[in-house]
Amino acid sequence: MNGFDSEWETTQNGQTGPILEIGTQVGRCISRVRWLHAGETFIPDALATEFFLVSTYGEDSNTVSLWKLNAIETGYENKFKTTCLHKANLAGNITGITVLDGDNFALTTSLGIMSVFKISHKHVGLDSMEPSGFSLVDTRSLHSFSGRMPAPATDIVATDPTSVVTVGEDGSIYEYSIKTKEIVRSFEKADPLSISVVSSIGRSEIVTGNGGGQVKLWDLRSSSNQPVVVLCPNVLLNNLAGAVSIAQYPSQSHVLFVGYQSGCMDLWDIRRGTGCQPAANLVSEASTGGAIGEIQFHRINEDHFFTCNQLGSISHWFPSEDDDVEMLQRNLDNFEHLNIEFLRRGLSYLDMYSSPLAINSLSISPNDRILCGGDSGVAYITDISGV
Amino acid sequence: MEVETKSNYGKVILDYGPSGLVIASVNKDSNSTASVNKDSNSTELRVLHALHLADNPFIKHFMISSSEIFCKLQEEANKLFPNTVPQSTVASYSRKYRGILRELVASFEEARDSSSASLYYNLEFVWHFCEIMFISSNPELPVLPYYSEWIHLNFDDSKVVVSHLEDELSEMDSENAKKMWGVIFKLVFHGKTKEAASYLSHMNPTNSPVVEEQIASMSELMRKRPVYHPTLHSVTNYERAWSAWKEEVELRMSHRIFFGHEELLFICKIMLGDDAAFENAKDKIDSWYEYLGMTLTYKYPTARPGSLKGHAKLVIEEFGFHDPANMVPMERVLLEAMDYNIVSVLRDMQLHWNYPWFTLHFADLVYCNGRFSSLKDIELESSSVGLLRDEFILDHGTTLMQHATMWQVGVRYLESIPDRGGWPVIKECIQRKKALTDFDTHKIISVAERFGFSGEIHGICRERALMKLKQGQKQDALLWSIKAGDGPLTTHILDILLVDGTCDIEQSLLESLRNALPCADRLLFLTGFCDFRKMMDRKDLRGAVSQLCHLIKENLIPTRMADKIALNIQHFKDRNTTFEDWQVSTLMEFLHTRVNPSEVGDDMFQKLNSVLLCNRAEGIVKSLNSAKIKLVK
Repeated sequence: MNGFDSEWETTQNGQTGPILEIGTQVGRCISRVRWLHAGETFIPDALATEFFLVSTYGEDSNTVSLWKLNAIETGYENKFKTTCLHKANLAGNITGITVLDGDNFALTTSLGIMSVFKISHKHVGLDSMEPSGFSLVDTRSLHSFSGRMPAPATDIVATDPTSVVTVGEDGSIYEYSIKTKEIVRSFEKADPLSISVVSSIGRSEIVTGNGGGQVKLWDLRSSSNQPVVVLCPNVLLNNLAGAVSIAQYPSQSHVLFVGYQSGCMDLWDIRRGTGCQPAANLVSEASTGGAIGEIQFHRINEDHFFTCNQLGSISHWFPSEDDDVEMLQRNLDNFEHLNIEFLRRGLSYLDMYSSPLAINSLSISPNDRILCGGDSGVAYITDISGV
Repeated sequence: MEVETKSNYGKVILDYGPSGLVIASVNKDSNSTASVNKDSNSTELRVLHALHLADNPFIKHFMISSSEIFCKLQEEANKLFPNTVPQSTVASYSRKYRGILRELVASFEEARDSSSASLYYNLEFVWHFCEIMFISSNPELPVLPYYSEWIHLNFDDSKVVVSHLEDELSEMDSENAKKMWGVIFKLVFHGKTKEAASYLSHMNPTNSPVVEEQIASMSELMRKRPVYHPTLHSVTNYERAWSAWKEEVELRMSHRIFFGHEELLFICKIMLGDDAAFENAKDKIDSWYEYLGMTLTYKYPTARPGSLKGHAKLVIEEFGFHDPANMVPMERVLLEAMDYNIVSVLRDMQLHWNYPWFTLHFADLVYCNGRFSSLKDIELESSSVGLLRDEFILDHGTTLMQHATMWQVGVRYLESIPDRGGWPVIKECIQRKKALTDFDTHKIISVAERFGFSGEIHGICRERALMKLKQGQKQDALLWSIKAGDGPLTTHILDILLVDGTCDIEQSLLESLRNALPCADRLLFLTGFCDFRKMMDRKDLRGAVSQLCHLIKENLIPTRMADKIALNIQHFKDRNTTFEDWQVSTLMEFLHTRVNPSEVGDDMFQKLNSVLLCNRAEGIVKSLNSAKIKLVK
């Protein structure tokens, strides 16, 4: 693959901070980045070999590529190398990627298509295998407007290793079984507004965010096409900005962080049901600005989370040390029952990285690495083991 | 950041053809008189098109990296305004640009695209020289340190040759010895006498004690040669040291220390600036600028930048490379730079390169430094640089704005033009951007918001609303029309929704409608109806009935909605809740005058009627009972 086999070497001297710049030969706007997890790792390993996916958008035909990150020299100064193992071209923008397990991943495109890929492995050493490439195993055209015009599928999430849920601008939700290659459940045009993001909060429950800023909880087992819970943002604060990112608090699955187009974030307790107020608001003046692309919590230290935004920042959010810093507007009736440190102490943030162009996606690996990519066409990996 | 070249390609001559820029590759080992293939069918020729450049991933990364450097420099310049950016800072930014140029060359080399690698290699070559003349060097101090570095970076192949001969250094045959001597000579020509001295120890294959002594003596001379550094030495002290060293070389020459050793004698004569040795050296040198470097090193080590042109002319005549009138463009640019003619340099680079990357970024560096405006003894059209810079930015920025994925980079350039000069272009281009998805639309809007282009934002939202309408997404269309602030369009979409009859509009949309547009009957009805629905959801029947009666009384309910609205009456059946007389009367009148029984169905109509009658009856019974109680009391 001329131009895609680049290998970059950079040095890590053990300090927290950018360790590599990779994928410069991607050369296209990056829409999504995702680590390929090959099972849980409980003890982060700073020298672990890892694999990740990068998808692009902006051209008529875009790519999804599989990359390998590995240490090539260890010692006082560690050196890492990244290699592109395989790439595939697809029509349309790639809008979402989800990794099902170490063997499969699925993605969605702006043509309303969901595709499933199987990862191939090769032997490394005597008894271990590692990813070496991928191949297309299934593709379905799912989302369409009335009149059969393809509707952009906007996001995809895996609810378990064999099922994915896709959402789109047609307001439809589809649960698809990778095993049986069938649509298991569909909510046709269930949301009158475009759905921009979906997150799984259990095997049979998902939450979606739409263009009007609403967050809805859906029960995939229910025969009703109505959402179980509908959370409406404060229109005066949010001014009809769409909900574009959702993250579930790691140890309290009923707590959701929602990022909006306006750069605001709300923290919701979904147990409070339809019509409740958020437990806390992070207003745009206090935030880093620009639509929040993705929100990811730290795997172990759940009071720390990371965001990327359209102004090109990767921010690390953490409980405030400074009493004078007030980033959150807390709804005093709604948060005291939530055992969340930054709700008590307040929230601060630190810009870890700044790019002149938008950063659209980030992903955190079990080995405490944060991977991000955006419109500069460059993917960055930073070590966050110091968190 | 300095990055050493990994290899030297043949020099690429930039030439101007009838249809645009043409490029020809020249073999490094070819005759020193460059031969340019002007055959338009030749595979060596290529025309550059600016837009297509950004489709190459290497170029894209290069352009984004250069935009980052550019933006950082603008930030720095803005912070220091009205002062200019210090020379050292501007020089460091210039080196960053060169760094990414070399990175680009390396990428093309790795991809085996030698013509592109050569192209950018030569661009960096010219840039580096211009950096020396316009940025790094001080017109009142010797230029040699910078010039030598430039020559050595671009013409040094010692490491490559030595790496091939590494295993044979201790026992070289005559051919390899010749190659090594070639390396040593080159290093001497470039003024890198210390490095040359380090290789001399390998040049005694016979282990002759006489040769050993000669080599030791020469190494000592080479190492002792004073090298000027602008921050470490004064010119006077350097000249003194230089004269002393020259005398020592002459002394050793006169003592015939190197007698019998042809190569060492040659080196000694070069170091003395001997004309005959210089004449012999021409065979070993590829270009007149390399020869000029040697001339400066050993004859005029304290030459100022302003005297370069004079020396260059003499060298060119002596060297006999070119008739100055027929010089290739790159060399003309070098001579114009020696003249401090920044405008001519920019003009020629723009003419030959046909793409403003060089001119834009270099003009910007010179502009930020503002150095030449204070120098009185150099005539320079410095006032033109700022204007040229703005023009180049406009050109480059506009080109980028047309690209599908690079347009955001274009915005960053255009916003740096003073007095918002680039804003009209940004505005114009944003309006023409095609957005196929909500995600793309929001990207465009976020850029428009940064500049406060509210008209354009409304236009984009309106386009989106119309597209959603076409796609059958009515409520989505309503959302976008509200964002557009387009009253007529919003009303039109509301009409469509009302015709559909469901009135089942998302809560957040309804909330926004209250504040979105000036009062209109449809909006008043919808917002009133929204309140009615909320009360019904809360089981606040009294409030809901009151609200419905208000809508009826104010005549806000559209005729076509009356039947559907009336169906809500069936939910008013509640023994515990009796309504006011006037409310029941209002509802009854509404039912009998506005509702079509055939539309709702006769059974339903009767049911609705009976709900109201029952409620009325309950009310009468309650009031009679309370009257009875009073009488009893």
